[in-house]
Amino acid sequence: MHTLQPTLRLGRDVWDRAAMPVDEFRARAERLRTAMAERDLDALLLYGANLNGCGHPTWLSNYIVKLPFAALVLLPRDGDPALMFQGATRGRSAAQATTWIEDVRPCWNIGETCLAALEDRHLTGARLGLAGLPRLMPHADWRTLAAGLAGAALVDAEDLVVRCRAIKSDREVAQIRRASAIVAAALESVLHSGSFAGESELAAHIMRTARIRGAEDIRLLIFKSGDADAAFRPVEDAALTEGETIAVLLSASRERYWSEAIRTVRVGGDRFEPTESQAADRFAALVDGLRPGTSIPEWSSATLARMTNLEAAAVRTYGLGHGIGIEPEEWPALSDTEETAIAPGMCFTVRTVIESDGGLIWQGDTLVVP
Amino acid sequence: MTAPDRKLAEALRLMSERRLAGLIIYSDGTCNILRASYLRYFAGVAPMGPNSAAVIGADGRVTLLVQPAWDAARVRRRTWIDDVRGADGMAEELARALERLGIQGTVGLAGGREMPHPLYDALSAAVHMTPADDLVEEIARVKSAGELALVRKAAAAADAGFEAFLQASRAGVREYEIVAEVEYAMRCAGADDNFILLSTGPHNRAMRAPTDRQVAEGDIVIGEITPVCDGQFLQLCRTVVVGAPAPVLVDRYALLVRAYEEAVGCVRAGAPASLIASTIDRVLTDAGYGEFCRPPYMRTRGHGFGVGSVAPGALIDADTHEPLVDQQVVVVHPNQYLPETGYLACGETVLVTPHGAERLARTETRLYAKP
Repeated sequence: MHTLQPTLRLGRDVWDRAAMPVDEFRARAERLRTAMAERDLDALLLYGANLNGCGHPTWLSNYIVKLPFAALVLLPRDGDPALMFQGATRGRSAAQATTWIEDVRPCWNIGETCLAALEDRHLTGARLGLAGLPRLMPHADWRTLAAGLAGAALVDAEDLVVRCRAIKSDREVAQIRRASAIVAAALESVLHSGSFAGESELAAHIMRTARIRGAEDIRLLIFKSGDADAAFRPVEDAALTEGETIAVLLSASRERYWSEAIRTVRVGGDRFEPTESQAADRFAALVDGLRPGTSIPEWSSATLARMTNLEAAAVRTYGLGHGIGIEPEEWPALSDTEETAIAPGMCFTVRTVIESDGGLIWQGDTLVVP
Repeated sequence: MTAPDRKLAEALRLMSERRLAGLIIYSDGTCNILRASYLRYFAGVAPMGPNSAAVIGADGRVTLLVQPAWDAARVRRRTWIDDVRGADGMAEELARALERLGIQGTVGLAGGREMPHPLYDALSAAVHMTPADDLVEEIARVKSAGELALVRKAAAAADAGFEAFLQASRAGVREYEIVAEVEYAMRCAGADDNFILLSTGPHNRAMRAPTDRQVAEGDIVIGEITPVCDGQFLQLCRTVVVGAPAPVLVDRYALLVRAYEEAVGCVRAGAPASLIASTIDRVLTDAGYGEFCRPPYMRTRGHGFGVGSVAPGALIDADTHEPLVDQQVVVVHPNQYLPETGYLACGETVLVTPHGAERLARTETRLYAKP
């Protein structure tokens, strides 16, 4: 789900090579090269920008942007890849410590730098597959890049990368489970924390709990049924009122991989109380239906049909869920217009809602399709 | 005149001066310490993105388009702009807004360097766009009472963050645990976002994101503590030694404090910003460290924050000839690598006034020892 992006990804930044060895990234490169060969592509350009949209280059390189800038990986079908990122040259050694790619090029003009890397590999007139380009690239950078590639054949190849990323490896699943443990612990801690004066203190507590367990990036939204035009939103400088119901949506990443969950609590006098279990029961039924081979549109339609009009309208606003992994929101969306079947290795964040006397009760979790 | 009224009146005046039929202020939803968010400044609310834009017509009508569409209710509550619309398809909604507001011809575009090519391309079919970042910068030169109050709130949050930084800096703690405590303290003190870099060790090289490293007795812990309150940043650069400080560390840090104080003494409205850098460099050069007054031994001697400041987040150096302006918020930090001590963090944020610099934080710029 969309959230405010932080100024800086300020949490624990570690590359655990036992959990995610170089072989994992080489295997990803080989999967892409096989797909490139099928489409007769000489090279692939994987572009990403900002803290939410850098999935393509991060998936292949393990490099993450910490400020809202761009990164790009050039993967030739034959030869060594190159990583380019927006930043000062002093950032080169720190970047090299997080990636297996040897050709690392910090820059401010990513279009010019990409052209230089292509020139070095004699690929400026080649058949190039594009992922994230020009969809995410600022106009000025794209103009530079496109002008320099006037002699190349540019082919949209984003689906190739997206589909590779959607099926998680065992190591990726293990990372997502670790991120999920952080999210679960942080949300559970609310029930054992006593009371908070306001929304900001509640958020500060949850974020501290996640951060101290190793969260790299954290996003938090709340939903108060009592708000006029109630919607998920960032916390504000507002009090918590006894008896009100609050849903907390928490996303956190650990070593690049995200997990998301929603829990709804009721504000008691001196503590938070869990809400009724109906939402959990409905959630269990939803998850049970997400099996390999299931058509996403059929599952989505059947799920929405079991809801009241109010519930269906509420959940449609944000969607029933979507893929999750190296980005907080990935393909495929769990939507009645997404013509895709569930496959083993896919990871989803799934959300549902149920009406109650105290307002809407939201529940969400991240799960792996076995 | 209220602050929003002044913003709009100034925008219209500058649009008229430049013969602009309209103004588009765009945001990709990021909050960047190095690049100010013009839309957040103008609308008074942070957009989630990935595409949001304000469209201002020459007659003073304003439309604010936001993504995701479900965020429109929040934005409507927090902005002064009356016409707020959720925009699932930004290119189509922008074209409709331009038509609705009767905007044709040349349109100013602020925040355009964030705009992805497909959106820019679609807009180019409707109007001719010309860069207008400087137009918003000019509007923002004067700070409102509300903005100054947020700066002071950020200063209080920074002090709370430093107290947590000091308390957490002890043998055995991991770097990311220090950041967790600093962030927690600053959020409890009213910060809605944070920018924290640090490093720990006996001889640090630079500040960076936290790792698993455990602090040891005798380590030097350096940090850049930067809370954000509704778009206003404030920064403290602090050094804590875990245990008794070595005499050489005490001596060299005193040198940095002297450089800081002399540089702050030069800050006043009308003075060239370059004086900050040249003064710090002079103090260090006089002490025999002239060869260290360049990267990679230092990054910058200071910078501004946010819209309307000098060199926001980037760097103030000897070539930054722009004069400092009354009410600018500027950090002065002789953060410096010295061969005997490693990299040290020293400095803080001041408010530029006609009579000099006003310190904003309560905690003192000095070397802190944690027994």
